[in-house]
Amino acid sequence: MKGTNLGEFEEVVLLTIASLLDQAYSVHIVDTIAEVTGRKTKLGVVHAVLNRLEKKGLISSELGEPTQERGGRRKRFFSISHAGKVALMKAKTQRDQLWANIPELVFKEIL
Amino acid sequence: MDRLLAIYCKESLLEDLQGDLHEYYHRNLPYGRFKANVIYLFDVLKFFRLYTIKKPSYLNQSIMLTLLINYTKTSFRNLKRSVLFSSINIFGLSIAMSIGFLMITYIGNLLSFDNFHDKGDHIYKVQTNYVDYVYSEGSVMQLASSSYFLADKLQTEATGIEKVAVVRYSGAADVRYEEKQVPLEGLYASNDFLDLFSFELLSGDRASCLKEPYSLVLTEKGAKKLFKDTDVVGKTVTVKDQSYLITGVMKDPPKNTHFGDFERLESFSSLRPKGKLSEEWKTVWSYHTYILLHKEANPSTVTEYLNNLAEVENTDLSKYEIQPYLQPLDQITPGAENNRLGPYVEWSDLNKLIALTLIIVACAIFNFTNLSLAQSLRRAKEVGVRKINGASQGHVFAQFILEAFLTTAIAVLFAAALYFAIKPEFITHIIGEEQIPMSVQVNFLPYILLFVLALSILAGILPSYFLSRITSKSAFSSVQKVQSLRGISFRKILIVLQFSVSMGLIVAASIMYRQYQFAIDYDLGFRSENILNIRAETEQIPLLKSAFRGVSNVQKLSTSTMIPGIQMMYLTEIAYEQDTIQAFYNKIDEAYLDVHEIELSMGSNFPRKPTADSTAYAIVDQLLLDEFGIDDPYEALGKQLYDNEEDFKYEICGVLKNYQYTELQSSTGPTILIQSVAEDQEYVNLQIGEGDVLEMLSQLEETWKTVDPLHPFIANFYDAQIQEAYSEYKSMFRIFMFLAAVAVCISSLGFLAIVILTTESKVKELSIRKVLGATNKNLVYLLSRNFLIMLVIAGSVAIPIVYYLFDEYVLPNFRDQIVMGPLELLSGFLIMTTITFLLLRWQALKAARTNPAEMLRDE
Repeated sequence: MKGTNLGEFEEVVLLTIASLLDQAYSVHIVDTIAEVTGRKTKLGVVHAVLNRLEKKGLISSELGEPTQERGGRRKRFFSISHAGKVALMKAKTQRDQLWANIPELVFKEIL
Repeated sequence: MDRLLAIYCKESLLEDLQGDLHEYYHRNLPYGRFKANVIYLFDVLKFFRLYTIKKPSYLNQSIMLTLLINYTKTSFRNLKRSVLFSSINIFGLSIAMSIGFLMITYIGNLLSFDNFHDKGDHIYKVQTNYVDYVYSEGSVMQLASSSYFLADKLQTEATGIEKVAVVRYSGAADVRYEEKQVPLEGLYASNDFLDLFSFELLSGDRASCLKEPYSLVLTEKGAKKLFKDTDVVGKTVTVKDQSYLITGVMKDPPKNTHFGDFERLESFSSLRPKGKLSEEWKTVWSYHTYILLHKEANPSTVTEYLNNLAEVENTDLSKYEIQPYLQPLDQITPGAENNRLGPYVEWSDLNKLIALTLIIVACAIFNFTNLSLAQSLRRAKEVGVRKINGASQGHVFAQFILEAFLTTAIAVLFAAALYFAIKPEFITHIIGEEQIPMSVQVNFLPYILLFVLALSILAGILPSYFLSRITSKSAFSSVQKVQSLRGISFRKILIVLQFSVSMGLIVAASIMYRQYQFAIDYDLGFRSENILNIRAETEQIPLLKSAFRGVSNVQKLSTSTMIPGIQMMYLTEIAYEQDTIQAFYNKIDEAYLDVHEIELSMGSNFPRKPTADSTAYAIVDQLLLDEFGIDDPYEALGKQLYDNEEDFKYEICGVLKNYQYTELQSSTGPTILIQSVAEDQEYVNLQIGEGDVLEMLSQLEETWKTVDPLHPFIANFYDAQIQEAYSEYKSMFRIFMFLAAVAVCISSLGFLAIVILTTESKVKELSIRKVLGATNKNLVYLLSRNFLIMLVIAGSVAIPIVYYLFDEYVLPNFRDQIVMGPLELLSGFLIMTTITFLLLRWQALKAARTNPAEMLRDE
């Protein structure tokens, strides 16, 4: 079924949310992604992905308290759901499996 | 800028997004405010994605259906609850709509002229601008015709032209087959005529049936008149002692062609052997030239050719210039060039009709808006309840628009019925032009729908807007009345507008009427009462004269070439010594002056019978003497004039005292009455005594039949003919009158409703005042004070506008015009004031007559 597997960017976002614990809101996510991967991500793109992930049930969101810095508007905090964790684990297992299958000499030149 | 996002963004996402953007905005601020703003704006636009945008509320279908049913139900209930107001609304709307439908049919039919020719897209007509430098400095007369010279040149020299067809009007001619003879309307048409135009040929060879001289193609109608049969190809008929071969029979031409109603086509090639073809550049009066362009050819190359040719040929002309131009076939009608074959319809008249129709429609819309707003009091609570139950402003707006649609839908039914009821009247009285068909065509339907749609939206938009703005809070609060009547000043403006439109139309109609009366009563310097003009064949005139003398009650009798004063004008060139001028002329017999009681200031009637040599007597007017510089009329007597066109000498024997050749809306000019010396008379003028007119007419007709059984007996009373000559103004007056009446009717009804509502809302106040001792008069005054102010404002707006329009545009068309007096100008104000007061009095007295105790029972 299409959609059960995570896309590459989806996975990055999901991982970021998981790593940020209760501080995961859109702007912060964008900043973290930029910091870790060096990618300049657009807010709109991240929003779209967040929306998709929420629809898939991989993350859930709730509104926080209003803060001064956002002109009194509340932040939407995202947290990873059980299904999200399962999906991440599944992705990791698949990768590990694939890594394990690679003979060591393939990476000889790089190492 | 936050708002921009709010417009499209789902509410669940909005706050978060706005917050994010805000954070970014602050981050970007160090780069400068402007840059930050721009980035913000772009971000907002970038967020426009499928998942962020609001789902339009109407997508929810099941709710929509229930709502629709609910809205419809409430609308009908509301219509039923206030039967009076609804019927006033529906009545006004249906009248306005039926008139709109009439206009759509009329204009639609006009625009459909000549749209059925297969090659129509590539056909152009050559028309002529005739620029006159002698009698009017460079004024342009537009002619539908052009010269044969030009047609010939186009055929042989110009590039890009596939074919050229030439047509000339022939008029009614007597066609004889064996013993039977009937007059048939006809055209001369060149052989390519049937190639260019898609008239259906029933029998005969399309490619050659108009080729040979003296060939004749009859229409079905013409053939049936003559033979009672359409299978007549190959038969020989006679027209004026010349035999013709029938080479084809065609279907009757459809009504919507600019060629008019013809029954026979004569081959154009017959003109040359008859010696009737003039091939000069300057004879632009009778030939209608049509060109068919090659598919790829550009009309501008032909235009260029025409301009070059005109430049060369015009060098020989000094007094005038001829400028031919191309007119696409489908744009020939509507038009009003001189010499047209088909109907004359001026665009300016059409525009006037459209403007008047729009005024009526506006009146109906004002009514609807006004009444709905006035009733908003009653609906405020409903709106409040809906809003509490979660309806948005948009929902309420949609509801009331829907209600407007329902009302117009009902009105459409009445309008359709009205349309068919008034259509025949409209055709005979208002268009008055038989040549224009008024058929209902399927392709008008989109326009009619569009019209109805626009009407309902325009009618519904303002009330819906105002009603949807009522908040649930204000609907139930005690100050509700103040709130919901917020539109009150707006309503006053509408009432004033309606008043001014009605007043303006009444004033316009009364000015038109006075000018019309003035024109009819104007002394043209001759007698027209009890004079009967009978159109006759020239050769029959001597016989008819003696025959009519025997009819009792015919007192005097004269003959003439034409009838002046009824938009008929005959022009000729008159020379005196070195000067040449154009003059209006009429050829008359010796009795003419006596029959028409024309007075002379000098000289006398023609002194003797005409002689065979080429001189005759003439009576001229002062204007002609002035043109030739003859100051003393006495000296004029005996002077010799020379007619360039007829090659004839006239000796002046009299000078007219006060004679008007042309009617009031045409310009005057030198006039000459010429003694008839040859067979050139076409009318018999009978002066008749009092008595039974019908009896006498039937006697005359019987006498006519003994002399000329073939032609119809056409007799007209001169004064009726003169009235007819002003028929344009009469029909204008009729249209104004009709539309003014409709507008006044619609607005008075609307006004009545407003008065009823006002009285209703003030009934308690009135009762209290009555209890405290106010008289009925006081109450009427109380109610009417505001309306009186509105009437005065409306009058001071409408009357000056109408005065200006008439002073500037309408009256200058007349040679002698009335001075607009206070009676006409104030008529509108007086009529509207009277209507207003009668309505107010009626309502106020009704309110006053109710028992105050009833009204105040629950206070």
